[in-house]
Amino acid sequence: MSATNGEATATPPTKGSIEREALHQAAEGSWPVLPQERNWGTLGLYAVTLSAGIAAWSYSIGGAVSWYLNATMGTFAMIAGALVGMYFVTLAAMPISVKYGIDTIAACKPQYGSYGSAFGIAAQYLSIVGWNCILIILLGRATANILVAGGVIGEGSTYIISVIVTLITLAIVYFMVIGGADSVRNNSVWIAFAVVLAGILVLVVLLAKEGWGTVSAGKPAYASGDLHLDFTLGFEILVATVLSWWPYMGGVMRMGKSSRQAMMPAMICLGMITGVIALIGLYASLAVGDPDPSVFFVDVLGLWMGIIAIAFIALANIGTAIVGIYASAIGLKQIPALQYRLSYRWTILIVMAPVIAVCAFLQTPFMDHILTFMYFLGLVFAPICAVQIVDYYVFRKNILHLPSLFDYSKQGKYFFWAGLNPAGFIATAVGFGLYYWLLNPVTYAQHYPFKWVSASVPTIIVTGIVYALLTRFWIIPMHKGGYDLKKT
Amino acid sequence: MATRDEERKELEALLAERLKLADDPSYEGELLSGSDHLLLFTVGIIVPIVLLVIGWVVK
Repeated sequence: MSATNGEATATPPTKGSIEREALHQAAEGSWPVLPQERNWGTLGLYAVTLSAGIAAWSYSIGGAVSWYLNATMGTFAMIAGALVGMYFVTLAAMPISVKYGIDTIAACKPQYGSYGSAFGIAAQYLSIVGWNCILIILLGRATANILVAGGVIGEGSTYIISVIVTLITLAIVYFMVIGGADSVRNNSVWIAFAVVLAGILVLVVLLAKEGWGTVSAGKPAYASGDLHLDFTLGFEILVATVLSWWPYMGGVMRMGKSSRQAMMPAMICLGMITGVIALIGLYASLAVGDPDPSVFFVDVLGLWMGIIAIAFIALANIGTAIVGIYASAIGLKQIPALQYRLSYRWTILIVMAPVIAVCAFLQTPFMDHILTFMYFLGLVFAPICAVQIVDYYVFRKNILHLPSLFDYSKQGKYFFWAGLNPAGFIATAVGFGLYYWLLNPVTYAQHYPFKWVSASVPTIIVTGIVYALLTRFWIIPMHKGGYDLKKT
Repeated sequence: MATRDEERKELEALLAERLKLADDPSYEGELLSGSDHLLLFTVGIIVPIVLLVIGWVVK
C-alpha cells in the first residue's frame, strides 16, 4: 500500500544529485530516527496515517467482497476483517519501530537475518507491483468506459484504449519518479482528498438515484450458496489486504514518540479506514451488478459527473503510484548487493517493469484474478507478522541490539548463518503452506476448517508456534541471533 | 562527483555518528503498557468478533 515517509530531502534534479539522493535516501531512510526528529504529535500521526490509509484500491477491495456478500453482511465482515488484519500488523511492526525509530525492513533483521531482511523488501516490492497494477488498470479502464459512454469510441475499442491509457500513465509516472524525491513529497494529502471526494460523489449519487433499498437488495455475483463460507471469504479478503500495510508501518510510526500515541492512528486510520472506503466499492458494485470500479463509476455517475470523478481518480492513482514506486525503489536500494551497483533509473525500471508488462499484455487476466493477488497478500504477510510477534515479545522481551541492525558482518548479532535465520524462513514456509492449504489463492479452493477459522488467523498462530519451537530448541542452543543479549 | 567508494565511506561515517547519538537510554520511544495491549486487543480482536456476530445475526 502507499507509503508516506515525509523525510525526503530536497535536491536539485540533476542526474548526479538524483543518484546521490536515492543512495542517501535508501541508506539514511533505514537508519534510526533520533528523538529530536520524532516531531509528530498525536494529531500529526492521525493526519499522516489517514492520508496514507485512504487509497483508490479500496474500491476494488469492496468490489471483490461484493462477489460473496450482500451489503449488510459485507459491511460487518469488512470492518471486522480490517481491524483484525491491522491488529496483527500493529502488534508486529509498530512497537519495534517506535521504540528504536527504525523502519519495518530494518526491524525484520532479527527474525530473518541481516541479509535475509531482503525477503521483507521483496514482499514490499511484490505488493506494490500488484497494487500499482490495480491502480493503473483501474484508471485505464475507467477512461475507456467514459469514452465509450460519450460515444467517442466504440465498445470494441475499449480494451486497446485502456492499454494505451495505462501505458501513457506509466510513462508520466516514470518521468515524475526519476525527478527525485521532490516530485514525490507531500502528495499524500491531495491523494486522500481526491479519493474521498470521488467516493463520496459515488455514494451520494448512488443513494439518491437507487436508494438504500436497491443497494441492500443487491445479490452477490459469485455467492457459493454456503452463507457461512461466503461470510468468512469476505472477512478474509479484508484481513489479507490490510496485512499488506506491514512494510509501511515503520516508515510512518517511527516518527511518533510512543507506542501508545501511535496505536490508535494505526488501527483506525490505516486499518479501519481501508474497510470504510471499501464499503463504497461494495455498495456501488452491488447496486450496479459489476464489481469493477471502473464500470460502476461511469454507471452510477453518468457521463459528466463520471468524467469529474475519473479526473479525481486519475490524480489520486498517479500520485499513489508515484509514492509506491519511489518507496519500492528506495527499498530495493537498501539491498547491499544493489545499493552501489544499480543506478536509480534502472532501479525505477525494475520496479515498473512488471507493472508495464501486466498493463500491456495481461490486463484482463490480472483483473479477473484480482482476488488471487489479495489472498497472496495474506499468504505472504501473515507468516511474517507471526514470526516478528513471537520473536520480539517472547524471545527478545522487547530488546534489540540497535548497532547490529546495521551490521552485515559476522560480528553482527543478527548474522545467524550467512546472514540468514533458517528458523524465520522455515516457519514462514510452513505458514505459506498452511495458508495455501486452507485457501488456495489461485483456485480459491478451501479446505474444511477455513470457513470456521479463516486462513490468515490460523496461519499466524501456527507459524508463530513453529518459529517458537525452532528458535527455542535449535537457534538459541546454537548461540546464534543475539538471544543472550540481556546476559551480555 | 564522489565515487561510489567515497559515497560508501561517507554513509558509513554518517551511520556510525547516528548510532552513537542513538546510544542513549532516553533515545528509546515508550513501549506499550499492559493496559495499552488490552485496549489494542479489544479493538483488534474483541470488537471484530462482536461485529461478526452482529453481521451473522442481522444478515
